[in-house]
Amino acid sequence: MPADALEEMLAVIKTHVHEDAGMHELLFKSKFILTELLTNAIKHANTSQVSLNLEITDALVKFVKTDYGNPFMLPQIKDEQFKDALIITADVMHTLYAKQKEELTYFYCHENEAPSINLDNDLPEHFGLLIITKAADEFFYHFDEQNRANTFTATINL
Amino acid sequence: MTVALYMYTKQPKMIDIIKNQSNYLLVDVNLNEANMGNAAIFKSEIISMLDLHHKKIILSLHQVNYIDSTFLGALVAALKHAISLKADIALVGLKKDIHDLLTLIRLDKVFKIYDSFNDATKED
Repeated sequence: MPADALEEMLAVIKTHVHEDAGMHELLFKSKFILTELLTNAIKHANTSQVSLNLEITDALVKFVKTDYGNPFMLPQIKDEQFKDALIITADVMHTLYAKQKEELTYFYCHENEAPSINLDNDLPEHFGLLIITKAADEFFYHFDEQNRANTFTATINL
Repeated sequence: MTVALYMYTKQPKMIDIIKNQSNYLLVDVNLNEANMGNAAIFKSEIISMLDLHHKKIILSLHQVNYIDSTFLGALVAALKHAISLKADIALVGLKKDIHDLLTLIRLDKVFKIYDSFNDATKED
């Protein structure tokens, strides 16, 4: 995302959210959610047509990104412990899950309690979904088959 | 008489060696936006530097104001390469929100991060 466009969106948030709402943390999270939502569209959806909507209420800031590129491919590896969860990535530091709830795919993650990070282990090199999942209070994906639209929605509670 | 006038403009390099000591290199990253547009070139340049010098790189990110996951992936790939050569990559000069991002995704447990160049070289 071009820096000036990003700063413009952060300025809108700053103007419309009450000062008491933990502004520093909100802007930090918003900056990286916005960056990764658009990076994801360019890298994976293979499309230049992306729209981004920002919704601000007294209770939340919501980012909705829609593109008309390739649908997000869900992995098919089921978690042994949580049968309804699919594992997107698993490494020494995090396991990133997807969980279907009706038409929506929710992302959440678990921090793995490795006693220490052994650098000989396979370290992850893909962090986009992880960043949004950890920065947002809720993050989900929806694919509209009729319009071939991918929508990612990330919400920060105020 | 014809006089040919050539003008050379020096393009700033993406990474610059600021200091070359026996046990480390201090390297500046000359980017405001470290992102998917320059991550691949950065990765290739830093890996070439590791292959050539075989020593720890102290990477100064003080000019970087924006970073994305692709560039973080390139940094981790470079660190893995450094470890395979028994070298290392340490980070200095991180802006607060970039430091906070590394902490959010626990990369602060993977990279040695220092507040200043002096701190980074204390144990060398």
